[in-house]
Amino acid sequence: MDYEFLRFVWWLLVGVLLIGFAVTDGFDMGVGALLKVIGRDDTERRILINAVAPHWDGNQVWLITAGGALFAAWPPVYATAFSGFYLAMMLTLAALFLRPIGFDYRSKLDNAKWRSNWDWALTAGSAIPPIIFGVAFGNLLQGVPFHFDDLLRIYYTGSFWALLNPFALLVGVLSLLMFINQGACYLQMKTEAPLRQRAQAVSMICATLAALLFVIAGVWLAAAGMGYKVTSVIDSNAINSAVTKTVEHNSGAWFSNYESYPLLWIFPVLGVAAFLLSAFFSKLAKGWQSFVASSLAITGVIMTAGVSMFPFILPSSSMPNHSLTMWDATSSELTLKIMFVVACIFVPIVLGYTLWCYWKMWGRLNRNSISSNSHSLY
Amino acid sequence: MIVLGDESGYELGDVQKVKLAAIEAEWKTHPAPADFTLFGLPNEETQTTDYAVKIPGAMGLIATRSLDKEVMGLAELKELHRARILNGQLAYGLLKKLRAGEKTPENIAAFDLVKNDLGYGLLLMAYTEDPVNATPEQIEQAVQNSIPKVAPLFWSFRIMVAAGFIMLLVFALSFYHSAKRTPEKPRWLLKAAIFSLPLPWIACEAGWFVAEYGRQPWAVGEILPTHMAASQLTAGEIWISLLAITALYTVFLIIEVWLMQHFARKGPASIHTGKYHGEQAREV
Repeated sequence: MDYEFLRFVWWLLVGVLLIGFAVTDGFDMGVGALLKVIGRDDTERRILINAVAPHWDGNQVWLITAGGALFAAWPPVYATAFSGFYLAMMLTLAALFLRPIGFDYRSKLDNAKWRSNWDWALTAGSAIPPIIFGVAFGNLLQGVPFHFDDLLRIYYTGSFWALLNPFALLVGVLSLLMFINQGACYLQMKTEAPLRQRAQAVSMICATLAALLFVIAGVWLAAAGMGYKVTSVIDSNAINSAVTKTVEHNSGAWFSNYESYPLLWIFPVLGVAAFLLSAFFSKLAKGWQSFVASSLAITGVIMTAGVSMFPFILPSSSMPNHSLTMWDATSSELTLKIMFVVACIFVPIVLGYTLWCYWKMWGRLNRNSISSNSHSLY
Repeated sequence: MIVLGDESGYELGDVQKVKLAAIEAEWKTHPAPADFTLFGLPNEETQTTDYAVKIPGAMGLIATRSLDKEVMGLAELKELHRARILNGQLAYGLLKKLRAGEKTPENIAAFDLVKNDLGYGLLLMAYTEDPVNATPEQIEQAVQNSIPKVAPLFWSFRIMVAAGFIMLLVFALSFYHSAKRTPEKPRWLLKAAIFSLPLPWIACEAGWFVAEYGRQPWAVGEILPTHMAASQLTAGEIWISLLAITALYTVFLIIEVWLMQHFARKGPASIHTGKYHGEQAREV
């Protein structure tokens, strides 16, 4: 295992963690966002909540792991992004705070106003994070303004409002649609009529729109000429400083990897095709096929973003030479090696008990399952 | 817990001499074995502890587990820091030269000699943009601030230890009364149990303060000063996040406490499982 290999593995693993997050926490956030939309009365909303109740907190650990992996594998990226996007991160956290107590407190009192307020809290806590994550990716693709000083201290010169530019907002909406579709597909497997029919209808609309927005984002990317390109030679096996390379803003650079390796087109194609398939299966009331298609679409979309930017992680728009790439933003070889060994041992264990949990809790929920377990369910 | 505490005391004497000296208000190095100051009023101006109650020799035992090794005092530690800050100043100047391309063997050799003190040189950056030409006053400032203030550490450490021992006492008394197997426990004991609920938090907060304030001015000990490790966020952004989190969690706390007392009043019988005493009691 040399340094280059480890760096690549961790680039891949961060991608896997993000995909794992979007596929699993994606469905429970999607369900949360749909709470008021397809849950027409209190029992229906309790069905929706309890469909994700055994899994949502486990799923959210993917997000925490992704944050942790970012911290350990790419410390400068973590430092730049978390300080630079500070207020956006705080907004995400504030939204996430609402979820655990929303799930826990909502059904504790039999009071319509109380429950309705918590339903709004759950909706906000589930819909805001995916929008912000999408907006963050939209900004990564454009580059964000930051630079290092002589002592490698990071200066982020953008503002919170600058993050909310049209392209980033488009990606934010795409991300929300992606999560909602994942939730709607999940509900097709876990609920019965009439909730199931409503979930089908939502998935047909959201998956089709997501495919459309994904294509629009691609066309916009090409038309606006976004992209950065390393113009100096980087030794991917050496200890590199983030400030010594040369980078130019280059229109079309985000497409250059596809020109060099046409096989990579598989990811954007997967993104579009799998969304359309997901909509199609939802129309046919094939819940699990639709869920698999939706998960593949998420994989396609996230991999497209990663592959387009490769080897960039966080391009700098104000000082392109200081952009962070996977060859100069990683932690030491020893750190990556230790983390790799730990991941090899523990990721299978975590996957094992996660799958066991889904296995044990499988089955559809209906009005009867809520009324007969009213005190033990959320 | 208390065994762990003793182990940390020994470890501290070894790797974080400044924190130890400040916690124990060891203003000067005393002949081994050093006394342990149980109580007293640390006085920053005179650099002494007024009205000190001391246990002879105990400090030396805790920190060095010996009777002949010294525990270094703050005055001596400051002098040590002064030497290292001066070395660090040299290291910073040499680093600048090396970066500018003057990679002569002499410069490299000179840098190797003092590079371990580079972090101390960076301490000067809190007082001047240009550490190489720091004035004697700025150096003196860096030396004085190379150790944290004594009184906050002295007191928060004692609050932590007191909270720990009170918890131990309540636990021991509760154990004694449980072992007696009498159905009714004395009221004062039940009250003590209720009122000691905040103690773990107080101990945690006080201990956390000792750990974090006690390592100032360093973020990474002897390498990276806190003022250089901090992000470039504006005070406004920090205020927004602090106020938002405080406001949210205050609301959450009110809801939580209200729910707790609400359900405690109702009791388990109110859910009608048929398992609890007084099932016919009150309606939900």
